[in-house]
Amino acid sequence: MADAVIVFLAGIGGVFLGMACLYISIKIVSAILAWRGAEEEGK
Amino acid sequence: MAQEILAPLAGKIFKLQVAVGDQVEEDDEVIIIEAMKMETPVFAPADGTVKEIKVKEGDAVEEDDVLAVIE
Amino acid sequence: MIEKLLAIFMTSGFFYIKWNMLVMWLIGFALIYLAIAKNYEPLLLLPIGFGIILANLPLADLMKPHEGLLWRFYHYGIQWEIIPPLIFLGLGALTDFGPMLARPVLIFLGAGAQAGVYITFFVAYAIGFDLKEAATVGIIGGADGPTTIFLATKLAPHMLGSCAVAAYSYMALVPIIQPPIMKLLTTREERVIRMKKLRKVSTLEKILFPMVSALVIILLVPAAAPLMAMFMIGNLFREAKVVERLNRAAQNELLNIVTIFLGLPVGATMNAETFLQPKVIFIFFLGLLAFMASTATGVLLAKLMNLFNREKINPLLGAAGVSAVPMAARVVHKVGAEADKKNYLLMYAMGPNVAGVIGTVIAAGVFLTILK
Repeated sequence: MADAVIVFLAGIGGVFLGMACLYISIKIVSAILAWRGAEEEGK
Repeated sequence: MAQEILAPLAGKIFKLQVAVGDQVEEDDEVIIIEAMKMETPVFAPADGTVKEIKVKEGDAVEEDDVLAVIE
Repeated sequence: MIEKLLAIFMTSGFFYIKWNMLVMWLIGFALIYLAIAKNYEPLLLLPIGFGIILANLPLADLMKPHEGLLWRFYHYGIQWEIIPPLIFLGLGALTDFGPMLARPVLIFLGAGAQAGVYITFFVAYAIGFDLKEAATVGIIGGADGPTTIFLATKLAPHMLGSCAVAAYSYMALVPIIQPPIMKLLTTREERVIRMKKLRKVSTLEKILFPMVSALVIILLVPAAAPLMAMFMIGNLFREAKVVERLNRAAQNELLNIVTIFLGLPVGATMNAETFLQPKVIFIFFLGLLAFMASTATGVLLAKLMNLFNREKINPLLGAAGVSAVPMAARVVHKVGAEADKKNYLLMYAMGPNVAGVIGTVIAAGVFLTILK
């Protein structure tokens, strides 16, 4: 039973961690692109 | 006062439920769009007469494309 | 002379038919019927159904190790983990991540629905399946055929056929399974929430996404690499716009060919001895539980997120985290339209829907990492 609990927690944690990393990386890329876009406009 | 009917989502014009000159009431089904193999109806925003239909069956449309004009 | 005639009879399979083979034939015919008459996931259930019948023909030895034709498809296609990743190559080429990139927070709805996978895992373990079997049953809730097959091959190959059939059957039943749960867990006010218009996603973002996400996810969960890598290269084919031949082949010829070689051997693993066991009934009940739980956790997470968001998310979108693409998104749209016929949730629902595919692959990767 303890094994199952570990897998359960690790699993849900792992999925959320993975998706959170994905979310953050998308946000970073969007931010960089937006910043570059603004720079281009400024020129 | 003319009102445009805009596409609420991208897809293909599946069926035109009205013709130019028809009287429509608010919330009548005027056009059916097919997206993701699903038919979704587009409704008239107000009462009036169909003045112009800018698309025909089979056309691909994007979100916010003008589909028809009502007066 | 008589002996010769007898010999011909003796080499025919008719003498060797056992009752349990007949049962499997019936099951195979039933799946084919569902595929043809009811349009239940025919692309998979038809070959699976036929594969079941073929595997249960005595003396044909189509699944005889090292010799049988279907065994070779199974061994070189599935056990060598070639076919499911190739399916993902095709799926990646078909997938538009635009709606997800436009509102990245929807990614978490794709995560939320995977919680149902782990709940089912836990229940399966409590009932008596071992850890690896429970994980395979749980991943059915990811509503993703190739991932289920991929995981089953590695963790519980004896359950491959039943889990695949359960997964595809329930995917076909998504329009029946999901709405009651969605309505139970949401109020009418929540269901009529209109979503803010999605921002336009630039081509550059769509090109960078498959590369960035492949990097992030494969580094984080290396066990998910085969599926994720193929998914993202397919997506890159689609978004780069300069490899249209590869893109079209991936979406069409490749995907279609590989689908044939997925369904047939999967069905062929379902021989009477391994399938006609009491355990298998539980797989089907747990599979249903998995779909229901995933729908519920997706919707509940959306409601939770609304506590922290000024721009409310329509909680129905959580159900689209169940990665039956685009069935679940269609269901979300329909349930939303029942509450407010002018609410067009379909494109918004595609965000969590495609995110859910990634989520299921990660979930499978985590299972593999811990349990292998």
